[in-house]
Amino acid sequence: MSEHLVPFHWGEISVIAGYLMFLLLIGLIGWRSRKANTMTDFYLGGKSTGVWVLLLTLYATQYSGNTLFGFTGKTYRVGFSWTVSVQFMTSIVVAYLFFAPKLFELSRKFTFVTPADFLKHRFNYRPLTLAASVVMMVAIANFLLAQMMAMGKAVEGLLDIDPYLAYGSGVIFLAGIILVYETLGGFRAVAWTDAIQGCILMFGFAALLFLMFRQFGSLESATRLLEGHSPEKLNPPTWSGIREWVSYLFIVAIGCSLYPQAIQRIYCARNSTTLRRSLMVMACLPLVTTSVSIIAGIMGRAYLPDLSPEQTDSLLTILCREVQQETLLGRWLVVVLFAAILAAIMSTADSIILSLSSMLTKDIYGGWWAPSASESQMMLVGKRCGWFFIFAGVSGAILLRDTTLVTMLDRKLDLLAQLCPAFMVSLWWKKLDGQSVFRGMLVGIVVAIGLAVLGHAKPFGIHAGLYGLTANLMMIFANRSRIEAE
Amino acid sequence: MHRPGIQPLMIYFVLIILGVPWYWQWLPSLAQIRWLGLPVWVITSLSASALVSLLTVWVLRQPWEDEIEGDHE
Repeated sequence: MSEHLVPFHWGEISVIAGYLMFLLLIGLIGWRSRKANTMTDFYLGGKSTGVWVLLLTLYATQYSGNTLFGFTGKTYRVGFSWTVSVQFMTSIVVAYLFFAPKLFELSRKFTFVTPADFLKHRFNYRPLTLAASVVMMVAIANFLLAQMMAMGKAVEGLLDIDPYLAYGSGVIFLAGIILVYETLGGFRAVAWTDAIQGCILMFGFAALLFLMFRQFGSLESATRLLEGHSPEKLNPPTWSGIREWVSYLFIVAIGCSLYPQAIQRIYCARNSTTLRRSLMVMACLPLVTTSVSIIAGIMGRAYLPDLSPEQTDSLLTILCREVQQETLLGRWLVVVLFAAILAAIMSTADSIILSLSSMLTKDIYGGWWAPSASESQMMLVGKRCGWFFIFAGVSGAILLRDTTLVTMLDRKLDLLAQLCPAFMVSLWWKKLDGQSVFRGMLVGIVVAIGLAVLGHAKPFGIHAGLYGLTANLMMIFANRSRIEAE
Repeated sequence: MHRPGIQPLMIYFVLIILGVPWYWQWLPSLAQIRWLGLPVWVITSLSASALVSLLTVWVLRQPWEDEIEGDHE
């Protein structure tokens, strides 16, 4: 069974090309709308983002290509147990309730640009600020590489030419588009393109749902079929599955809410009301979007039960190919869905690049290398950092074409969870000091990564990052007790 | 509001208990009842998730402290 779409014709390619050109135009508008040549303006759009743009940029950033490909494939493999994905996507917004209001208020008062600015303000302990920046950069740099590779794979499955050439050209061409609009318009261009991409993504989810029902019929008939050949996919999870379910709720809530690009979206809101309203809508989106991926996975399992494990992550493409071959309407709906997939991948990639370049410039270059650098020097360095990350991402994606990054991607949340005491606990524990948080973070990272390296990524169904976080908090309590006793 | 109060936290806790399908192992025949093709345990988990979303919207309706301070200025 082919894992590639039926190659697009010129008419369909023109629509995709038009959409990509539109992104460049938005970059140009973002450049013309800039108000000052400052870090705040370039990296946070002057902190004036309104409700809808903020909502759509949050949405497009949180929902990556993985939501479409990864979640569909995972549902195929585990069945309805992947309903946990709807719950953990909702839990991210719940996690924001515990720190976003206070963090937003502080970011206004002290003009934060990067997540580490908060740590500098709260602890004034340089090793912690540097370590937290490095942890965040490592965690999301690998995520960027995964998005770049996904761009190549998307184009590879689309063009009727040599796969290596299609993959390489896809990565270079799409990364080039991101480079242009991001350099021109900074955060404004990224947020506005995210808004367009968010709309297309929502439309893509609707198209996917329509295509599934049109092609295969009702969910009822799919589950009846499933009962015949894979009845275990309908069962509730076993005890080990339950532990994994609970573990997912916590690791995703903590890890994903602490994505540096998500924290910067808290900073960029026009005011508290704007942020609050955006989060209100965000809280309801998993039900109408993530559940579509689950339905697609279940339909795939019911009607294409013989896919190999390696093929399951391409399930969406396989389903689209089935639809494409049926009718003209199906063909064009797949074009919309393909645009949504590109939107999901590119919007995540551009936000990561902007976040990485702001952290490298402000926290590492401005914070350590050249503390006396002027705003315009920092801006220049920032743009060059952005180019560097795009170049590194493109090179990595081309060199590692046949490598699977799933294991490293899993470590992203384990790492980010170790920042929970620094960002969440510290807002409410007034006496918490930088040294304790730093030591706790190091212990947490050693435990989380150590377990994973030793082949225990989820001992007893619990993510290694949560063991790390427990050790992290214990270290903090021990250190605080020692300090208070002295 | 700077963080959710004790009542919403308790409701979140109850919804997590309901939403995680741990108790269906004791109700195997009930768990397999289906509505619109979805097993009842999936509907329960999705409903709990919907209630968490609604509760979050309700919590977010309360103005944050800086908005209240802004109104007083």
